[in-house]
Amino acid sequence: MPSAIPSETRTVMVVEPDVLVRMVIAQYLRDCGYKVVEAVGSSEAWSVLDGGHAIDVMLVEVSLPGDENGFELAHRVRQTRREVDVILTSGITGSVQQSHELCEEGPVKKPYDPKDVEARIKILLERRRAAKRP
Amino acid sequence: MGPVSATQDTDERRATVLLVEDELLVRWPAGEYLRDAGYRVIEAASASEAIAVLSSGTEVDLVFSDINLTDAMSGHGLAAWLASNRPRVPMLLTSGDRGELGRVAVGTMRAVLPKPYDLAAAAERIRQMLSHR
Repeated sequence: MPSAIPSETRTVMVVEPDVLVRMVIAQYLRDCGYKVVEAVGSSEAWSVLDGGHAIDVMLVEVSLPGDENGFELAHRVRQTRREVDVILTSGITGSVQQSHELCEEGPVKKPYDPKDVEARIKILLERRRAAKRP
Repeated sequence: MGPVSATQDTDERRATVLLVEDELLVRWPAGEYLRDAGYRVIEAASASEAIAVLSSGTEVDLVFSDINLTDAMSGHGLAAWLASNRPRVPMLLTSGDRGELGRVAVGTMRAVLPKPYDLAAAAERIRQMLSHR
């Protein structure tokens, strides 16, 4: 069962090309009380970000189809959207090293447990809250 | 006005709608609206994604799909696949092209909704289709 509902609704964007993976994690996070936006790749992700929708956390698969892979997307988000946290997910172990340069904990390795993903999201949100406190 | 409740005629479990739309900025608000209306919504961005969901054993009560999908398979193709593989799952097809809507054999299992559609109207249409099951 999902853990306690977050005190305020936060929006998570799941960028995952595999519908069967996306469907499971998106549903789990909704059950946890998050608002979830599902994107298939980088261009969809940018259409949401550029549309001015408030996104708190992005869960990004490393291997994305199209011009921009997950690393590049995460890197660009880091540079241009400081308010958005990014969690990388990967089925490829070789990408671990590269991910460490983008996020200190490294990527969430697949197959992942949705509970672990949610725990990681909570930590990031809590860190943001703590940083805002005077 | 808020969304109509989908929970009236579903006692034990929420009905699941598979929403197939390649435009994220159309799919997202439609998905959110239907979730607020009480449905469980699975989002697919193409016919092949929709088929992957349907083939995975996930229970789907209704498919709500755009006809003009960017993938190789259109909403018509998905309707044909559904007729052969999941004949008891009804489908609501939408398009901004009236000619495309005219090609749909409308009946108890198939209905059409012109684009742009009102979200409340779409939810009401889905509710009606599910109540006929």
